[in-house]
Amino acid sequence: MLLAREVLFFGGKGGVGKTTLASAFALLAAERGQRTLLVSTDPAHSTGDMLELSVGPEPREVLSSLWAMEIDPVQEADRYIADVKARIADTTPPRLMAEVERQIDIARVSPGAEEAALFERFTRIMEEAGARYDRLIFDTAPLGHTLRLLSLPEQMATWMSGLIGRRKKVNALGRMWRRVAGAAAGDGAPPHDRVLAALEQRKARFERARTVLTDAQRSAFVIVATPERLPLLEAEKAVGTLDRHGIPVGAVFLNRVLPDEAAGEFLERRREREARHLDQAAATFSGRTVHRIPLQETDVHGLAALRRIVASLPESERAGLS
Amino acid sequence: MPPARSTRQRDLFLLAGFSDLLGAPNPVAFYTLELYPELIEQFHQWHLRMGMEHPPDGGFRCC
Repeated sequence: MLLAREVLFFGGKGGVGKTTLASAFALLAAERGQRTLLVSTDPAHSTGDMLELSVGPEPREVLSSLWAMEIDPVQEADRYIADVKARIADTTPPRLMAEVERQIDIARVSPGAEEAALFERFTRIMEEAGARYDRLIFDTAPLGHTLRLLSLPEQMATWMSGLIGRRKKVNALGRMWRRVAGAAAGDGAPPHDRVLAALEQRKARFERARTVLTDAQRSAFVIVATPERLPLLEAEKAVGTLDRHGIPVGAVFLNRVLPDEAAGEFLERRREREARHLDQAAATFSGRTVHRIPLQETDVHGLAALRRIVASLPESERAGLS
Repeated sequence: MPPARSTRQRDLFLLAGFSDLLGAPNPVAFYTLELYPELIEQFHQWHLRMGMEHPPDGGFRCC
């Protein structure tokens, strides 16, 4: 059962129904009485629209036991940059300040900045959620970006331990030199412990997030696709990448499968085409948990429609619901 | 001047921090922005040590 885990991530090509399924699982968990936080990192902000409730940048209880929030990548990046500037303000020599700020502003507009800020927020939510919520559900941005995001702790741990280790060495050598040379060595700047501590904390937080992300007992990635060529290709690529990073894939959902009652010549032709994609998917994801969600008569919008999706989830996922 | 070994350490540190400017992709530069004051100061000392009165074009405008 997917909801046995503390954290679920939903991924898939844009428009396949990630928000629908993430919201359905969040609703399912909440109706079971689990305090659940649903986090949308999708710049399209579709969660509030889906729930027909107003959802903002901070967690808000939208239903009994269900909290929701929507993170705006632009705001996150601006806030991150402001925090960095504040943190270094009193340790930066005034003569360097203008250039330091200029460089940081360049970093703000560099590719990937918003995604990186999003990930930083993401790890903080994971840390803070433990005490307040039983379940955490991320309705993530489309897969390409998300996967790069998830591989960051790995790259970061390597790179930063190199840099921080080196910096500690520099500080240690500096202290040694000052002891040997005494006051004559001049203005040995004190190590900027606060800045170092912030970096160490960030790295440690990323590593803890990674520990959760790679633990199949605690978290899982749910891949959503529609039975069409490109969404399935993207799902296959995603599963491969997640495997390479050791991130567990909990299930693959094939969404908007033509229901049996859909009839007519046109739909029969569609169904033939779809059958080929479903066969292909069965082969691609053999050995994995694959679920099908039928195409709905109407748009999935609002709680009543969402409850119909919950009802169409496999029995195994709905176990324990009264 | 600090001992030669320390100088080498500092140059290594500078290289790590500058890798993206040198064209080696640095995937986590965004998460180490707090080191920029340090990097710019180190860069300043490096170009003086290399006998350049002013910083080379395209890098930090440290002086």
